[in-house]
Amino acid sequence: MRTILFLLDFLIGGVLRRVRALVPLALFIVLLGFDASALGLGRGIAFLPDFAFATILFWLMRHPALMPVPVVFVVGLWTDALLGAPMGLSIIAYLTVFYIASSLRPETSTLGFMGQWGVATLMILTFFACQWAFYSAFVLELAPPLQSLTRAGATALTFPLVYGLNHLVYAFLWGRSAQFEDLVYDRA
Amino acid sequence: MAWLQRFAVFLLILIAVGMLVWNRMDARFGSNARMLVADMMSPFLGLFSQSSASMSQVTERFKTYEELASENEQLRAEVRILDAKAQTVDQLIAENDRLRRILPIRYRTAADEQWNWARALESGRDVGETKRMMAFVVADHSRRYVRSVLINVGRDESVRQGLAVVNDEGLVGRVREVGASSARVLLITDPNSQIPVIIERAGLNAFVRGTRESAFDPDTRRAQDFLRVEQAFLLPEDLKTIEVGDRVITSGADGVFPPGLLIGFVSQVTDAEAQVRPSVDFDQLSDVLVVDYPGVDINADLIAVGAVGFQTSSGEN
Repeated sequence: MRTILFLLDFLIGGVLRRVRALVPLALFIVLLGFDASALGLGRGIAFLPDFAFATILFWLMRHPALMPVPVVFVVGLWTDALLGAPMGLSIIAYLTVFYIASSLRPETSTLGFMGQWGVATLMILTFFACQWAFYSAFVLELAPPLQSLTRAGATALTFPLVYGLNHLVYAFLWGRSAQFEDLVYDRA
Repeated sequence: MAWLQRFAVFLLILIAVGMLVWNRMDARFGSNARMLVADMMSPFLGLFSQSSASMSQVTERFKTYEELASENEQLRAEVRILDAKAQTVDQLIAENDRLRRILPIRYRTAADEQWNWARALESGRDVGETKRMMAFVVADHSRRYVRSVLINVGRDESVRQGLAVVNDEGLVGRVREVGASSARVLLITDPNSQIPVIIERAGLNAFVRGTRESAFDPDTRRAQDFLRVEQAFLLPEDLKTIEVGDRVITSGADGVFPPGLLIGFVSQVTDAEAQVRPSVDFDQLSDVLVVDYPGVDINADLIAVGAVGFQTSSGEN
């Protein structure tokens, strides 16, 4: 029996674990696509929270092992490429948030939900401020800040929702009941 | 944070800043990467945008009886007005043909080009050298930093850089980047967009440029992006001849856009500047046409542009 379980794990266990690690990125890509598509919202898009960024922020804060620096770089690159923004703009913003999240991790890991929400709000503001500042520098004039502020506010307000959904995804994929391959791995 | 990770973050931020600077110096930098991602994502984006378009159509169908009755009445009134206009247009076309036959010399003007182009749009067929491609907006970035949209046609459908993009309301923009199955369109409201135009009633040749600013539009009762008439190419007295409500159309002097395309209407004139409200509603952009317009000889066109100005001005020229 042990041999069969070991063989199963050898054949599919590692693959499943690797595929599972791609789920946050897949979520990000779907949410960014949703954000980038013509939603018929027109100007109302200014009030649409940046769910793709909020998702990355959740994984950065709660499960940083799944969001290493190269992945964050690729996330920024993908965002710029898809949104037609100047290349580098989102990369800088994402890496800045990554740096802050990593530096504050010892303090934030012990915080309750409200505390984490506060820290997330700070990082959301940093993200949008970075994008706005570097874009203003890029075009050599001050870009209107209202839209960035509105989106930052909407993202911060809806962060608990994104947090909850991503937490469910994490619990499902890394939790006790759904982990057949972990079970196999542990026994083997 | 480990020093190695910290070093990696700083290095990558430096690389990103370098990319930004490079992009500033050369706007084409990253174009291939952008279009590669756009090509990969465009089928999914198409699904998203089509389902959202269907949703808005569904919500649009829910109207009260009073709304429908009032709309019906309004449409009937519009049909009567359009009928009357159509009769006048038929008379003018007949008169125009008759006068042209009398003229000893045949020459091609911007008005001819506009006429050919308009026929192409109306008949649904390619007319002369003008070719059209139907496209669907799959991603809308018009409310973000760069005013652009992604459409679902690309190199495979012979779309190339610089082609004009229009819809039934007027000029939308021009193709800026082309991928295999998608293309990015720079909207006329982007600050990088500068178009030679004619302010019809005043008969003025000018340039309009997009802005990053919005203004409240009393007609639509919401904020709307606007274009600005470039001051550098106007004399101070020229500005005084512009009035609110003047139609602004493309002159075709750049050989990129067909002449006579509606851009918008003058919405505000001050001593310092004139603003133009685009005729296209960029909040509701979905179906567009990519127009492969062969362009006209620049010299001939400049003369023709003058001709259009004379024809449409109110006798001031």
